[in-house]
Amino acid sequence: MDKRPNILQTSQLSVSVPSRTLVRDVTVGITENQVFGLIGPSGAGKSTVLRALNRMTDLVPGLKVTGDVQLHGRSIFAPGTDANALRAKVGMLFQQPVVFPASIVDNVLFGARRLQSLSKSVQAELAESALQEAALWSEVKDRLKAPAAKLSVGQQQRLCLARALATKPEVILMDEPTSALDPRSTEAIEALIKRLKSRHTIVLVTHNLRQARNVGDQLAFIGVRDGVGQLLCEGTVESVLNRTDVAEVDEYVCCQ
Amino acid sequence: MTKTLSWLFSLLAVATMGLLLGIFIWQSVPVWKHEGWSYLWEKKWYFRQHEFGVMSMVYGTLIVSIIALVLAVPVGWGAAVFTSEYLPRRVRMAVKILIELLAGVPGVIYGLLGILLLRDWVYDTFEAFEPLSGDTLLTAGILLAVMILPTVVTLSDDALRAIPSAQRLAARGLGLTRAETIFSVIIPQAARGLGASVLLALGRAMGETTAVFLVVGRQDNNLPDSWFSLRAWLDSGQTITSKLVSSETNIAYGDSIHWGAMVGLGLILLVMTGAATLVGTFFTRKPHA
Ligand SMILES: Nc1ncnc2c1ncn2[C@@H]1O[C@H](COP(=O)(O)OP(=O)(O)OP(=O)(O)O)[C@@H](O)[C@H]1O
Ligand SMILES: [Mg+2]
Repeated sequence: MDKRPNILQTSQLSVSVPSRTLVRDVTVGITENQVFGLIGPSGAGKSTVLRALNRMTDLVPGLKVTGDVQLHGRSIFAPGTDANALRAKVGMLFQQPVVFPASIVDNVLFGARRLQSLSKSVQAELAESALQEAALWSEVKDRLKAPAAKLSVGQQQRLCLARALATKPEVILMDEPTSALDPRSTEAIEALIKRLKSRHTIVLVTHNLRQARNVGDQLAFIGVRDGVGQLLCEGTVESVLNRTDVAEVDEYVCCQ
Repeated sequence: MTKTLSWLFSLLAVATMGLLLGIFIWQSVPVWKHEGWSYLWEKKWYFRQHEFGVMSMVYGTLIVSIIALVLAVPVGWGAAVFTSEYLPRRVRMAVKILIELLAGVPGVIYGLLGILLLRDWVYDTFEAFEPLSGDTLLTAGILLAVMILPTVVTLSDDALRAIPSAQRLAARGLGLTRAETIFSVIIPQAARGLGASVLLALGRAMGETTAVFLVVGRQDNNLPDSWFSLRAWLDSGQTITSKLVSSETNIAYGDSIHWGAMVGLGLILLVMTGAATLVGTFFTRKPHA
């Protein structure tokens, strides 16, 4: 077992709406500099759990989160926590790339600019390093001022990643980041994820078991029991995927 | 099929508008012959002397509309940001219904309220400037501001709401606060719609008749040297609409030049409101959509 400390730790994390509980009692530890995969059937609550990790759940009216999430041992729900600063530290990549209608470079610097007032040269350096990190630099370095919307979907997704990276996050939450992409772009993102984990911690929701095997270190399976999403098992990727004693996992894995 | 139909209706719209303009141009021919272009620039309007210059009424219409916009637009945009970005969805719907109800209240009702509430307030508040009465261009402008506010709010709210929520989430996910998201993501993208709301409200303001008629004082030939002076706005004035709705229109009908002068005013108003509405409508369209 890994001895590194857990950068993120959830305890008895539950999310509910007034009419029902969506996910209940999720307790997992996520080790630093790892890719932590979340799998499970559609509607089980993977995205919901993921969004609780940087309090994006706050933005949905009616959603109630109980239990706790700790980042470096400190509760992210503690009074006085700046949820906006938290979201810069725990960045997010969505299923569909969402670029702002601005230039490529403006998109990259979007979140970073507000965090500190940066000089022109620092901005240029930051944009370059973020784009390098997202493996997009060579493709866009000659057209940084071009509208971001002109990029292909795969490039847009990497741009969104660069944008998140520019705020220097420690953790990046990815919600099925390749499900809208073609195989080549998917490969590019997967290669990126493997590289990124040397400096970041990644929580990756995916439906793609090949992807989980390819990039994942640890895996958690969220399934539905009694109509509520729950953490059914976790461990290394292979150990989870080979669990035949948990019916839901068995069914999920064999039907892929 | 849809293409033919859309062409047909576009053609119909243009033809109707053309016909309307045609009638107004044709009916106003006598005054153009009588006054020439000075009909547009002349400051004096004395119909018994057959002197017809529209400037003071164009001034009145523009000034009351500008006052209305200056007051209503900031408030309206602010309210729209509030309804669209801060209110929960259901409360927002209730507020929208209320606003649409307000937009549907007949102008004459606002006019009566203006007489009841606004006239004395203006007279008392600006006493230092020694206005002759509470029936002033400023009074009409303030009243118009209240009347066009619902238009500004609903159209702006729609423009803001049209920005996909994915944009909001993406910005919040980067750590931007709600206010930062509004200012750096939402408003820039809604700018065209926000601008359109102003132009469409301007069209309304210039065309509004009864309410203005009741509080503007309807004084002919009031044209100050400086258009933008608070003191001048505290005088009674005349707008194109308040002139046209007065009994002078009925008197004019027997005299082709006088009638032409009145219809000419209608023509000018039509062009002014039409231009504002048209530009506003084109504004709402995305440049590449
Ligand atoms: N705001 C909400 N109000 C009510 N129900 C919600 C809300 N958000 C999510 N849900 C419900 O919570 C459950 C879990 O949703 P979630 O999006 O987390 O699933 P998921 O595991 O990510 O599914 P998928 O693989 O399809 O993305 C679903 O049944 C969904 O309908
Ligand atoms: Mg999901």
